Amino acid sequence: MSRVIFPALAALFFAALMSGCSTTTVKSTTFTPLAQETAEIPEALLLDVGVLNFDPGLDDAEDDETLRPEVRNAESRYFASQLTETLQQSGAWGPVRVIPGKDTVVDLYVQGTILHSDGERLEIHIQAWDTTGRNWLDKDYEEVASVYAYDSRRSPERDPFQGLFNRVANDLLKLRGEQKAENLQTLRTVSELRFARQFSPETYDGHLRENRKGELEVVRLPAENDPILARIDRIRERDYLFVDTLQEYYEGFSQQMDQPYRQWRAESYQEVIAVRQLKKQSTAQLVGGAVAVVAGVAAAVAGDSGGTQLGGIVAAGAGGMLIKDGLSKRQEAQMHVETLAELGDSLEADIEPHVIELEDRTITLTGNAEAQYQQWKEILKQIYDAERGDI
Amino acid sequence: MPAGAAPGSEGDASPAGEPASAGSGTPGGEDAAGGIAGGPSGQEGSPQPAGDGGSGTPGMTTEETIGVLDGQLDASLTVFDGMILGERAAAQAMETPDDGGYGAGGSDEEEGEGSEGDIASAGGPLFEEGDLSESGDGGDGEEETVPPMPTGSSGSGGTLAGQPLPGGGTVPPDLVDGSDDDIVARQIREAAMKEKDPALREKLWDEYRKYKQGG
Repeated sequence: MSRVIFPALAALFFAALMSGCSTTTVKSTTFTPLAQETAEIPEALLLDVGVLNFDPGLDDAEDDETLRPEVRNAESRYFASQLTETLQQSGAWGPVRVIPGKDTVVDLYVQGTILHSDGERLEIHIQAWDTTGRNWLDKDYEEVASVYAYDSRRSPERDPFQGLFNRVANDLLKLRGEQKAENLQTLRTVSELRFARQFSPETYDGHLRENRKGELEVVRLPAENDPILARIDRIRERDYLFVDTLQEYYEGFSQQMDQPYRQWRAESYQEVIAVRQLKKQSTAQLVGGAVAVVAGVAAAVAGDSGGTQLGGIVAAGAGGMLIKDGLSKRQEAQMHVETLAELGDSLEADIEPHVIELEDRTITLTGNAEAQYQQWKEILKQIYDAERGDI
Repeated sequence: MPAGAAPGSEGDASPAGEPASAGSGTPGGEDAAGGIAGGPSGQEGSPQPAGDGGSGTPGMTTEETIGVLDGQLDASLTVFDGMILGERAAAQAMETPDDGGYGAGGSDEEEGEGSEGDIASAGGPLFEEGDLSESGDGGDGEEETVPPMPTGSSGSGGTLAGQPLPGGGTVPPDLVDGSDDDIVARQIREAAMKEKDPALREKLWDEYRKYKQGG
């Protein structure tokens, strides 16, 4: 008898254990403070940083029924602004701006790809490279919001994932610190020549070349009183102005998005936790229940006494109850998934007009600037021809 | 584009994604050939739109030709400054929820015209880096105070006859009406109005006159 009833009772105990332990989820995250440069950096060594809009990572998230593309698209801009602001606070850089594309000339480029974002966990991939094309950073970052992240009494005003952006900024600060001063100056020179080459390729094509590693090198420098370069410097001031204006667009967008997005994150956080817990409980109960049913039936059939058979029937019955409860929890989890989707729909409806507005303004301004830039290129070409006596 | 570098996304053909890729939509990029799209043309010396090249006039010295081109560049930079000031005013309005929230700056067309009200409300420093007032040749620090160029029929040229201009002198009586100026004509006109050298100013007015007649 004991040989048969023992496994049945053990199975029942195992099932109870599994369904019980899945409810204990402990979260803890350590907030990473932002490292700031305390020493004064000479102006000549300050690098301009351009943060590109993040890749929303929609290609890899097709199976996520709760993900809303417009929310991701909005996050791609929101996170770029957040990283920009964080880098500015590092105090180790020149102007840090969100830039519209890789054609905008800056000394250091940073771009992220959103791998996961649901209010509870944020995972992004960050790449950074300098104006010569040399890779600086290529790394995944992940952070799980603490249980207090959305408690305004404990974490007032702090973004739940600020620690992640601080870690990115700290890594870049460290990488910058590893650069020799002459390298930093060279980066600035390369940027200046790249910009000049964009506007007057006939003049500056020969000043840069690509080495075997595919990185740009300075071949020669322009004369100190190069009149074409003086004109291009004036144009570059306008380019700064153009990018600064786009920056204001992005800041306005982030402000508009901040409130509904924080609310969505907080609500999503609760739902995500609930879904995961319910799914865990459901799985544990279904598995434990199945084990108990099988063991119980075996005991009931093979038992050599009434007690053993009764024990088996009890175990099988309890297993059946666990399975029923597990199925119920699975349904409950699905309801939370639907709630998550509704939250996403709601946020999407809130921010989609802002995303469209930002896109429209960016495209319009970029188009206007592009027309002017083209004209400046043509005027510079004519000046170049005039100086050569071709006109 | 360095093979192993992060920026290695589609469309990049050289370091740091510098050449304009087809879909980037970012100004300043080079065309696929690394040169100038459209290229210069019309080098016969007849007055033509800046975009068509050939701003020289027969009889002009190289210095004078370059002066005219610099004038066009100045004028174009001024137009750009005006456009940006208008956009910044609109962007700042976007950041003020009380003003009606996002998009309160009005339509793109309205912003493009950049009314004086827009300029006044823009305020604040123009740059985090760089300073327009430090502009070198020809800039003479006027960009920050010159209002944006009017567009289309809202041209203000018609009101300037006889009034002293930033560069001295006045608008010639036969050129008072600038209401039908296109963008090139406006730029030449603006350059002439700002030019301090009387001889060069006169040449610019001639260019303007010829362009208007030719257009």
